[in-house]
Amino acid sequence: MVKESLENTAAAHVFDRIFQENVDEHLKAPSTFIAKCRERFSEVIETCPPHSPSTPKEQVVRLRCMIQDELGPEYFPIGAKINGEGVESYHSGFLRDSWMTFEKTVEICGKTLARQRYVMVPVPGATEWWENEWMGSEELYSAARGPPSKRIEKFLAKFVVDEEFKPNTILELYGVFVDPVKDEEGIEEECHKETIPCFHVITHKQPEVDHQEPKEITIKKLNEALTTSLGDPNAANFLLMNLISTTYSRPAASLPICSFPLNLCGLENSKRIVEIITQLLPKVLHVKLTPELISETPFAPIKNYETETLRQGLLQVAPGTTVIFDETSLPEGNFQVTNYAPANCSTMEHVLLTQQIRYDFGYYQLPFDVDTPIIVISKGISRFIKTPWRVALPPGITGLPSTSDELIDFRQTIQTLKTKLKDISINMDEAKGVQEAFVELAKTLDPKKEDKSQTFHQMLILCRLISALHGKPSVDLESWREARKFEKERLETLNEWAKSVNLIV
Amino acid sequence: MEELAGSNVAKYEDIEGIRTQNEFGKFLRDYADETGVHVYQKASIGLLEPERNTIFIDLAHVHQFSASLYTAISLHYYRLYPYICSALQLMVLDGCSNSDHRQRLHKKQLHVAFNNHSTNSKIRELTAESVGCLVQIRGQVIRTHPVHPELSQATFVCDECGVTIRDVKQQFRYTQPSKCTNAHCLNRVRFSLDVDDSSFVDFQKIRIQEQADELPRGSIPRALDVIVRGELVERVQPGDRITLTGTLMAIPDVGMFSTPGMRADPGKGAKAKLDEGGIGGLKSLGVRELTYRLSFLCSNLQNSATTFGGQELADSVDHFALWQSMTHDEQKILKAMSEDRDIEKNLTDSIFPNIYGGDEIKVGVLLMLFGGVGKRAGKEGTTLRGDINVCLVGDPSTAKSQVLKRVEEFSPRAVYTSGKASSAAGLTAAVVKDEESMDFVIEAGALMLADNGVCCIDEFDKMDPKDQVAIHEAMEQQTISITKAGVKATLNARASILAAANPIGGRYDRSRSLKHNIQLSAPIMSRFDLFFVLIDECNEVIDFAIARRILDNHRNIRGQKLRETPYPEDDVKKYIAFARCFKPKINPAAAETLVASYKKLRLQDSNNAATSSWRITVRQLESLVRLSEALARLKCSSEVTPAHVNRAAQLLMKSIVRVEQPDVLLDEEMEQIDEFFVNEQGQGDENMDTNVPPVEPEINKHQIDPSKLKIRYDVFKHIADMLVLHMQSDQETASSEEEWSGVKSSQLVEWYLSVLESEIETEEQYHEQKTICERVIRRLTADRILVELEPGENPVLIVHPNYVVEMQ
Repeated sequence: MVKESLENTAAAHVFDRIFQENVDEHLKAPSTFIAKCRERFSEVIETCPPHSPSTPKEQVVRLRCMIQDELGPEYFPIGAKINGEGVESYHSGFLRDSWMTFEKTVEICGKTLARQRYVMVPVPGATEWWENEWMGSEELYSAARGPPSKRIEKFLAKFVVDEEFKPNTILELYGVFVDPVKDEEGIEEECHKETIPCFHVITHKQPEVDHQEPKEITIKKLNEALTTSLGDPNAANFLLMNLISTTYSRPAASLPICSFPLNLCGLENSKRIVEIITQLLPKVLHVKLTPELISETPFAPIKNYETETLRQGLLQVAPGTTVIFDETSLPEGNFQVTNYAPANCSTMEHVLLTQQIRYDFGYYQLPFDVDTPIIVISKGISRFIKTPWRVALPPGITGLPSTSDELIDFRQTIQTLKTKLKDISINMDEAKGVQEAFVELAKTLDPKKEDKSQTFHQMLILCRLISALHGKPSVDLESWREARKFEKERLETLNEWAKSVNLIV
Repeated sequence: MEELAGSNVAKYEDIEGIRTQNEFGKFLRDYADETGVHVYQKASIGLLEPERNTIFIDLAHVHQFSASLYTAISLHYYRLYPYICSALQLMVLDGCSNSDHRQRLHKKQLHVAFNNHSTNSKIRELTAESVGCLVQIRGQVIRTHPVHPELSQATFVCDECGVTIRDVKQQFRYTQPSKCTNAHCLNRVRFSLDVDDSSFVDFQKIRIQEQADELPRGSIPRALDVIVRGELVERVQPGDRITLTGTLMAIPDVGMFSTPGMRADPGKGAKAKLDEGGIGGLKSLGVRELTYRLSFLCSNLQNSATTFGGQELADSVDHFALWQSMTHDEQKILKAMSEDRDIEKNLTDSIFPNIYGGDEIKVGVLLMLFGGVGKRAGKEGTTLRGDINVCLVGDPSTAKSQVLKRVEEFSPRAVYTSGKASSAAGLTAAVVKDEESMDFVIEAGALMLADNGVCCIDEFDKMDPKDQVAIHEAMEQQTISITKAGVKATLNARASILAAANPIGGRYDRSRSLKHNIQLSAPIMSRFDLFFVLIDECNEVIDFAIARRILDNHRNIRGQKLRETPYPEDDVKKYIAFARCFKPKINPAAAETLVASYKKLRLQDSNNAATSSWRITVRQLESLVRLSEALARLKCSSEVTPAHVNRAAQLLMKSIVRVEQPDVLLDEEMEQIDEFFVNEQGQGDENMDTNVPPVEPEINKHQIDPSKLKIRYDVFKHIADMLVLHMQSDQETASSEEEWSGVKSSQLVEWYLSVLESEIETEEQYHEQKTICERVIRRLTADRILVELEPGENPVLIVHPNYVVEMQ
């Protein structure tokens, strides 16, 4: 009975009814009221459909989106008594932006609560399989399928919560869309000059990650699959390590740990490799660099004080998104750029080397920490950034030879490996061995060409990733030796390739 | 309760309001500060002038006068405000005898502006709970709207009977009286405004945003609308950082103010909009927004730049005044820091927790942050700069860039730029054409942006020599002059410069002096107060230390614990800001020490005229003065003492010594080559009578590693001093007994080896030390510090009577 009534009547009216059950108590303790409402809706929330343009207006829907901008709080009354034509009724202020007051009077009762407002956008770089997972497999919603950018546009979400969310967080929201009310009589404090759809949130969740122990055999299979596609086992290793890398710590003035930016060289066409990566990761932002893109689209967010909005930068993405800078579409030789180009180039370099993006707020620039593994794809070596690890790929990449079940396993494994990366320890005894090995190495390094501390730092990152690949819980001397081997092979392949195309690396 | 225009509801008196009014009136009349002056009474007389309408009141005084009044105002500010203003009005009227003035005063609306509230709140912390209370916040202005007059007291004329209705208070909305005061007139809606008789007040809306330093990491700054009235309008520009006192209030929706029983009037535009439907039509259908926005009604505002919280201080702030303006806790912390005996070490550890070694450099950079005292000669107006410039030269991978980056992060006003990437115009200032006005405007370069701060220039040597010239003026005169495109200007550039340079050829060659290792012209070099040379020691100890540090970084994964520093960064910043207010004076004893040190430096310089690449000039004396002043500031003392001067001299000399004295090569081969030349010349020249016989090179019976024969200058000095002192003491003891005829070279070597006996473990080392000692003696003889009384294989030596050993 409850379900039916909830589906047929507007959510706000349901809230009203619950409110009317015990007005005084609810006015005094609004949190109990909210909890009751959420409980009443819990069944609906389990089964509500994802939003699409064809969904009816008052339907409770679910959305997965990213926070792009924070507007401050707004205040609303918990409840009001509305008198009209002799009929008196109580209504709650939740899930509403306006009262229907024609021929009626409104009397506010109780306190005012605060609602947090956030501008939400569809998740940038969401891959097809990830979206399909969210949409669910029921045929009911097949009509609504399509890329997320066609289904959701930018909208304003209003939450009644105590906590504050940081920008670029991904949230799953359950609630209703409401018609916005524009006050024409000139209350000028409209912070949001553009009218965007308004969404009232009933509850929200943060997306969960499945935590299962990665099986070593799955890792091996994944490695083999990649080797078959790419044609070079060492390159496959490096690509896999990039896929599981994540940034969780930032020591001063060196590469953040455990960030592993790669430059894949020798690719004429990026289509295949991008396909492989999108099949394995949930969020991949493919940035096809062209002179127009570099000139016209800002990569970092810029605040516009005229319209009081934060213009979304291309690189404003959620943590865990892999960004691919695709240089294969650039024209040969020099090309003209204008406008945003210098800022964009510096943003690219900065995000690769320090995992930070500077948001431009006019009077100052605010650095925001990001966690975005980066892959640069180029025909030769990257023209924009000097990447710490350059891998030369052999020609003739093929697609992944895996079944869809295997793919599901692979995806899960990659995510779990990512979260387990920071748990890999370096215990004292092994550390000594590694230290001594480094000192031996340092003697052979030419200080003019290489920075010793940077080299050691990068080797340690490599060791950690290798230990993760083998499912080992700690870094040991064996990892160090393998790291040296990987590096040696990578440099050999790179030099051979460079000779064959007449480049200097 | 505010008088609602002509409401039917019975008015009731706000008892608390009346009480506050009386007390506030008493405060204004009776309050006298420490000197017995009735400040506010005096100030109120100023309000008689036509443009003035605001009195500025310090809340600390209110608190002193009556704590309960203070609390009442803080908590119920918005409600009590009209009563406070009427108290002011009454007092001013009382004090005014002239009837013309009195009439004018009746019309004028007077305002009270409070400042100096005891607690600062953050914009983020303001909630619905703080509506109506007096708070103080800080923010940065991002937009200002034009000023326009706001109706404060309106006079209406009834359209029907012509009766004037005065003093209708407005509440942010145009409010007409709801009925005519004429008891017989039934008009309720048709009134017209008498503009001449109404009173207006200036009104401006500005928008402020949270400041970058107050933000929690990773959040987007919030913005707030601020309403400014009366004399406070047009005081700030976009970009200013300000402190505001005032209260939050909700932007009202007129419907909310309806009392029970009144209809909410849909408004006149109803019919026309019905066709639109959707959003426009809803309003006329009686849909009213239920959300409130909060806005800030400002009581007083001022620029933060002059308060202690904002980290930019005007030069002329007196340290005593600053001390008074701080909170008790801050005072305690700063006092403890100034009495700390290891303050130097603790400060360097706090500022550079992640950099290993290089202690002198850290101290040098620390002194740069404190700076010396800039002076201005009264009559002529010549200025002596107080900023200290430091240059770091060294091998790659020696954390030079890290030091620069760290200084840039730490300093409140710092600019980081790369010499390679900037041109002269980018560093100083450029003249560009403005797009909108088609005028030429000046665009600030790095040195200007870092005014009163630090400018970090990386890769200084890679700058074009032509561009280096542009910096000359900025470094010494601290101004930048531009004469281009019809724009003539002299701009301030009082920045300290921290430069980092790489040596020519990639690695610093220790056997040659600084001049040969770096591509900087002599004028620029002389403008730097301190030079530090960083050498990448290829030794295992350092490698191990580096490895250890990096491993620690990789291991500290859980909740990245920052290295424990003796003092938190904020305290250090406050300390530096406070210490910079001191202007230590040089006391007579210190002045003498300065003169003595300078003389010593000059003497040393003239000794090695040939190899000196850095002449000791008056500039170095000025540097010495600046460094001593900086050291005095470090300890927060108002006097420069000889101890400070000595420490400064030590620092300066360490930097000179590194610059001046390269490693001493005690290798035999150099001499061999010279002799070879002589040989060939002799044989080829037939006119020479005598054949210079080739000197047999010494046969090294024991293979000695030539690399061990290259010793550092300080080691060389140490051995030299030992030998000389020994000889001199011998001479003194011997001269009382008999004729002292000097010491044989072999005896000297034996004595030296006996002293070192405990340190020598292998035969190899023994031979090494022996050879080194012999070579040192030979070098000293060549330098004419030792004199050969009887030349030969085993000469008899005495110390040159003019030679003086400096104790360092």
